[in-house]
Amino acid sequence: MPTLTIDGKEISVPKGTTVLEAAKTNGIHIPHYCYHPALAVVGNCRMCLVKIEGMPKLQTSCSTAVAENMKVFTKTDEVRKAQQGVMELLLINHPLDCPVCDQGGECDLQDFSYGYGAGKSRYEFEKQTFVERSLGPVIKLNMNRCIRCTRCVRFCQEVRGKAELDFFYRGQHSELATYDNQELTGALQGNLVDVCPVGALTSKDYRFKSRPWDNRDVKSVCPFCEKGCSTDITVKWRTGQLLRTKPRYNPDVNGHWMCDHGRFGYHAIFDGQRVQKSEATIGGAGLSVVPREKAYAAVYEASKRIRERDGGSVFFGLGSPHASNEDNFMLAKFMKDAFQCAHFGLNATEDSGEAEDYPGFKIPSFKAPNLQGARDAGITEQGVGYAGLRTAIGKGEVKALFVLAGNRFSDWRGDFELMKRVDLLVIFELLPSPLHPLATATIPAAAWTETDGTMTNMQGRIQRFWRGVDPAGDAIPQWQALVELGQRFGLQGYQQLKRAEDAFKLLAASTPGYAGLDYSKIGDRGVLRVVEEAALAR
Amino acid sequence: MEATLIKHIGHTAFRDIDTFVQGGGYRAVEKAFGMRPEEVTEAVKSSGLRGRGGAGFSAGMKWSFVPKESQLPKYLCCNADESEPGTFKDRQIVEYEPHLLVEGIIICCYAVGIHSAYIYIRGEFAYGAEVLENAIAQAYSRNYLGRDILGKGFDLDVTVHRGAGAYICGEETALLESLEGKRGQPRLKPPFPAVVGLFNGPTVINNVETLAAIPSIINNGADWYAAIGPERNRGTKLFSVSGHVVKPGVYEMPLGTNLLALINDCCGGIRPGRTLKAVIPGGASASVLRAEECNISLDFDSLAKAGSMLGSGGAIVMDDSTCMVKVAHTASRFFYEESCGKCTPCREGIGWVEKLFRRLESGGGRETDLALISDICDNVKGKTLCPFGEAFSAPLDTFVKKFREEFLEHVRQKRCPFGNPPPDPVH
Repeated sequence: MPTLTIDGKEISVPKGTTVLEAAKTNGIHIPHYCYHPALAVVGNCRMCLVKIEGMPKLQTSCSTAVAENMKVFTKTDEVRKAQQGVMELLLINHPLDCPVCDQGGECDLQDFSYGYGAGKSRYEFEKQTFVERSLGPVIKLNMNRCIRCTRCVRFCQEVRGKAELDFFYRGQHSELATYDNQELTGALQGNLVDVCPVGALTSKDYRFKSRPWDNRDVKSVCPFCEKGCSTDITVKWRTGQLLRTKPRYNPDVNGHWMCDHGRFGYHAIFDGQRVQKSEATIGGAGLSVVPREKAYAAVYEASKRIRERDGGSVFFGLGSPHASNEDNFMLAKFMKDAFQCAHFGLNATEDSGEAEDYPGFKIPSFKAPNLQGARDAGITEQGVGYAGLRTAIGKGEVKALFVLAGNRFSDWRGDFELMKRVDLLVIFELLPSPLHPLATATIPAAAWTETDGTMTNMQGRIQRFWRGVDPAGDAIPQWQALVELGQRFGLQGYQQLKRAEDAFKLLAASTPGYAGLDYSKIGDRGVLRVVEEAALAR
Repeated sequence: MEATLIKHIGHTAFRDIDTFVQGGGYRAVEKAFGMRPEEVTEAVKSSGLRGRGGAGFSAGMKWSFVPKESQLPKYLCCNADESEPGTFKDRQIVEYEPHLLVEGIIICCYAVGIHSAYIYIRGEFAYGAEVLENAIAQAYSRNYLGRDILGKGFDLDVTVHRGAGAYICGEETALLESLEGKRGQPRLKPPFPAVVGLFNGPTVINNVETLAAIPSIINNGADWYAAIGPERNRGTKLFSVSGHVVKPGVYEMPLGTNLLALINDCCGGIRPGRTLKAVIPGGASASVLRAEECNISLDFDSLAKAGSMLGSGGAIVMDDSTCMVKVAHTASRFFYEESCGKCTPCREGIGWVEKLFRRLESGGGRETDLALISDICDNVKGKTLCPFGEAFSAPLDTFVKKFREEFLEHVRQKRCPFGNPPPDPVH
């Protein structure tokens, strides 16, 4: 562990650490553009120059490894002049169109200009200009704003694994482009917007929707595959509108990146016709919109009849890897408490077979976030997924079915005739489920952005997501609907389950591997559930 | 003094291997093969030969930095990307002494344990590349190259690679990138090429003139070479003299030759009726010397002491008809066109400076432009990724400082006092 001083502060960091990283981990900010912790060091922006005692020239802190007794200075007059010089030079050909630039407000060029620039320019000549270009379905390129840090070029080479983006021409004329103006490919394009420290690469999906100071970021987890990338969801303060999803750095899961399926997947939920009202069949008529309490009452009455007729064994809870741990846990708990039922299965368990392996990022093929968590939460499957359920219905063994996340019923085979043999069908859904027309009662469910909760990804890592936006219409978290239903059934202890964490604590108390956990212990990065070796072997 | 580097300049006969061998060629290879590789490196080290590409680093030292054992193949890259304005010396070796270069390459590779050498030649030297190709083919046919050279168990392949026309590819790491088929842009150092170079293997990069000096060192001994020229600046050097002299051309002279002697004795002096005004002594990236500074020894150390550099030895001589603002603008325009664009200060700085020089030469400049140019140069100097930043910031700043009065005259008269028209627009 070499010990060095930066601005007089004594610091010990592991051998091989760069000066920039040593400063960063010790709260000393050195401005930089081309350096990115997950990309190769190239040292071309020259913004991170620092003074190192004994060296005649200023050194790029991003590329200089620390050494024992090194003395680094980041705020001398010489360093300040160099920073001002680089800032001035970066801006002489920059359009300074911040008021209409999508990056404005979250732009390193703005921030470092304010923090390290001279605040004025001595350049009086015409600026270099380029035509705005499209780089494919995701990215818009405004070359005028580019500072040629090459983060995007390195991302494509190193993480995406295809050198499809690079500079053409030379010097001040150098221009970012793809060969023959082809579109960018692959499912990692959105990350280019994130790595670009300026407004050169902007997202076609997000641009012009909002300004950063009108937004807030809420920590979340991506629900579009079993990887469970840590994300931030951006919400507009005034309207509560969900604007975009960004990867949130989590070294244990996704590093700095996420895929485009996850990043833009929210459109599939939020651009569709969300189910906003609960519905129920009352008195033999078709489904009609009713208050939630009426829906619960219909479920209660039907349950009572079926139970008296067939007993508790014909009740079946169909959990979902698209629902949270709390949702699945409450389904299992409610079914056991209300009917002493122990029949469970999972919908949407089919693997898409569409894994994508990039050199720096793997996208798994199973496109639901919480298969592991649903099983952990007590959805002990009877047979194999939906196939097992079909057999059971066919044999007349299932007469009442409770379905979580009915809208993500990817296993559905259009078995309307078969499903008619079920007398009570309760569906929790975000969008209309394919089973919707057959339902006895439907409850509008809150999306992952609209509630707190946890999911357990393919590694067995339990991660939290936070409520960022208001639920659509009368939508309610599925765990909470099950709590309310339990109350209608007069079940013991349901009154006390007020928050998602209450359900989680019950889950933790009864689930091996989750013992002793609560939301604060899970934190931002999640924790691995403790698994017995025997369980691992299985 | 007998020329060793361009003995046969103007005589195409020595491109033929038989003529070359009859004249004593390839003897140094045989002699070197009788020595241990370390002895060869030691001889080059003690000869005092300093790299002729511009930086003047000890050639023997450079060789000794290459690790003896390497998992990856080691390489030699001969830098024939001669692009420095005012420099045309390597071209003479390539075109008239190609076998001397090949001989030097074989000896270097033997000394360092290299079995694969590349000659990176500037794209515009198509003719020179052809000459080299022919010479190499002949060397293969006589088993000076190829497998088991001269039955001594040493293998060597030499490949000629033509560049695509970028000045920056003369910078050693940009040369490597270009040779690997990538965009010709410099790499961050360290690691240095001697450790991580071409295709990540340890790599020696030597200038044409450096390698061409090796055979005579081996033939005549390190002591013979070390006796030429002043302390720390040994051997002969090729000087490409251009500009307002009676006989411009390439001259081989010992290091330490006086600049005025070079101009007057070799080149027949300044053209009649004119007087010396200034000399750029080492290619466009060397700082200009005023006439009164030209009584100077042409060696690495003396010129560095005078705030300039020997560089490539390309002396651009200017008489009193020359507008120094126009010279500065022309130089800045060259650098503007050739900046690779990788790092900020160089890419942006040179474009700005070029515009300021253009405005001054066109008569639209202001007095404050001079301080601004100096300050921009200061913001570039020492802050760039590769030496290109120094290569333009130091000499351009020097023009402003040394010829301030002439710049101010342009400002006052609002035109070029020498009657030059405004510069052509850059594309």
